[in-house]
Amino acid sequence: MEFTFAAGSQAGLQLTRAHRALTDQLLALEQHLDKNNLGKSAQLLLRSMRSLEDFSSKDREHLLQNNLTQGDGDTAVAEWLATSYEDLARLARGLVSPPADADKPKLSDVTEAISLALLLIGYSTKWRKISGQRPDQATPQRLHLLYKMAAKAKVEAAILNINIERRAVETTIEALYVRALLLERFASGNLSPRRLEILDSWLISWMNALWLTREPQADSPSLCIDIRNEFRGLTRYTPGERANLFLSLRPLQRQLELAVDDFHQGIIFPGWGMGISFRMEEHVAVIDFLDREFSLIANAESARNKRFAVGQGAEVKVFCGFNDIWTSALATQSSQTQSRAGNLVASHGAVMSGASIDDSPSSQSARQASLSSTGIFNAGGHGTTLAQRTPVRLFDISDSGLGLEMASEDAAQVEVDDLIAMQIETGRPCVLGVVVRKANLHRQQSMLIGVRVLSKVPLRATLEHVTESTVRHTSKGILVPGSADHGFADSVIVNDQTFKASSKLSVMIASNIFHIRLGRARHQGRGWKLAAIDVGLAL
Amino acid sequence: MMLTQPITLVVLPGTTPATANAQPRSLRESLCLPNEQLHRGALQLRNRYIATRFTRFAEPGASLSNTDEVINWARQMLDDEQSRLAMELLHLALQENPQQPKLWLFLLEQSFLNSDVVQFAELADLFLERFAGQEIVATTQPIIDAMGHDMAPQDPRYAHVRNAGEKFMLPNWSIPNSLDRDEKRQQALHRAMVEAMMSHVSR
Repeated sequence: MEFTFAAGSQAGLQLTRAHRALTDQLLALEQHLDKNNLGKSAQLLLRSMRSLEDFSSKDREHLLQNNLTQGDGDTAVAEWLATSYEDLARLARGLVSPPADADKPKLSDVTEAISLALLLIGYSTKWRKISGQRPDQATPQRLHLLYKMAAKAKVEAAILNINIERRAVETTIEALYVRALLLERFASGNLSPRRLEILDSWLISWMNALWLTREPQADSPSLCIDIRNEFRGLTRYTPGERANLFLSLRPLQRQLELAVDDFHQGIIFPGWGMGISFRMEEHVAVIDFLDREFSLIANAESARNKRFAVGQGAEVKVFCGFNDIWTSALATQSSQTQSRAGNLVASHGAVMSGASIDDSPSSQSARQASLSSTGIFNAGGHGTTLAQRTPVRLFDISDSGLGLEMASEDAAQVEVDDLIAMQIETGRPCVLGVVVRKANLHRQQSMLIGVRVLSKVPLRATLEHVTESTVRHTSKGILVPGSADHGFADSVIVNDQTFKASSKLSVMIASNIFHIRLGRARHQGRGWKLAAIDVGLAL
Repeated sequence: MMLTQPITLVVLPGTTPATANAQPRSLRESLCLPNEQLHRGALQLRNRYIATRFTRFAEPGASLSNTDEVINWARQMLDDEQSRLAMELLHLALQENPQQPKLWLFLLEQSFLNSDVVQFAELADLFLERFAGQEIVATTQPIIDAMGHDMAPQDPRYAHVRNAGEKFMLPNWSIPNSLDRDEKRQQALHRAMVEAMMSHVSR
């Protein structure tokens, strides 16, 4: 039996009768799969996947070209796509678990069925994300199980030729497994649908570099997999980590270099797929994204880059705007070390009282405590105040960024390039980030806020202007240390007035006082600038 | 809709994909891209890429030949922990106009600081070959050789270096002359920041 589908209507994207018919046919497909004839069943599933791809080609193009600026119809079609891939993936997974009394299948058929399941899980992960749904937490477990089956049959490294987007791609089960895990890892809230699509086409082109080893490479940072841990996919490897498979970063970096080299020669890498028609900004953003992710993986051993230990769905406290972050979120994250802070306030009493700093630590703590444990706090800094509304939840998280699920009413007051601080783990320091993306979620009343992390431990500082004047003047600052030991990557966030004043400043950090000047603005948003710290010019 | 072509999924013998060991182009190739050889469409795409990735260089053809501007910006990128971006900018600038000796020296110093012996040696060869007989080689070759000897003392190319074993001063080829920097103070400030951060992480 073979299923074929009529092409869908593409105007404005609506779920049509044709979409529903296809869903019905996919559901009916299960009855036609013969677990005693794995090869034939896998071919049937492959043909169905191909038909789904052909049928949905214009839908996918529309959704990605418009970056899912959704009407309800767009959202419904995106969700339908995710569900269709999930359904096919479920059927493929079912095939590779034959009943006990089934005939022993041919090895090539097992290979075919497992590879198909892995390919489909990758697609469903991607489309869940594009359609604004949370990642499926069962994904790592399913992927690990398929890989274990392949390893048991000793076919994980057998070379396959598969047809993706009408192109023959040479791959292995292992590479398909890694591609699905990388999609699961990288598909966080701060990566837009178009960029995710580009990333996937790159991963498919990099199949030959997606190799696992049994030991970490001595001279290369690695990602690792603990195949027994059903809740974890690819994570950064640090010595002592429990893991049994490793993905060296170096081949991926080399592939990225090759991709960049193509752009230098006027070729849009990889030269095929829907991404080829996207604006150059989208491709450059993917390069930036991978650069950042690879750099974080390479610096995994740094204690400061410790990964977040929370899962999706967790409630987080959120603070918006420079002033409120300085006053409330970072009330207990001073640049002065604890033992000296009290003395400093006492000895600098005159400074504090004569300055524009008006929130003492005790009053800030009291204010913070008076607010409920969830939701958005005061969004000072733009002259507006948000009333506390519904809880903000963690949508997803990676090392360099995270997604927040926020009520649409609250999200309406947050703009791209706004500063945002989040207490993700109770009792841990607030994390500072910048909003890079806003998108509707599949539920009408909520939005996804994509955040790029600036610092996992930002420091609140009081900057004193060093002038001839007898009246002392201070400004608020948030110190954002860079990871390089040379210190030239260190920054401070200040308001526009402080940046414009361009005066020499003194600041107490740990137990030392430094004279600094503000260098160039590395990033900026409404009312704030992230300025390079320069000690050389301050002398 | 009927399927128009068969779906293939073929298991092949062997365990090593043929393209597994694809390597980036050699330094000689990637630094000496002859722009003239790119057809118009490719050149337009290349320029659009450069203008998007490096917003300060909206007109790559002309501005990437401004050596001081390129050095300033590459330095800023290094300071911003974007070393890959800085290296990419230098490569692009040399592709546009390889007659910028300061950029070669910038790359050489960075290879030395990254302890990348292979890249250093390759760059040194290319630099000496391109500027052979020019004054810039006369003034810089002793320093290049000393750096090479420091990284690879067994390498016969640097065997002639005098005062081997002596610590030499870094030439600061990757720091613009105009820049006022105090590395010790900057490091001290960074250490203080890390100390303050760690006190919050461990509390």
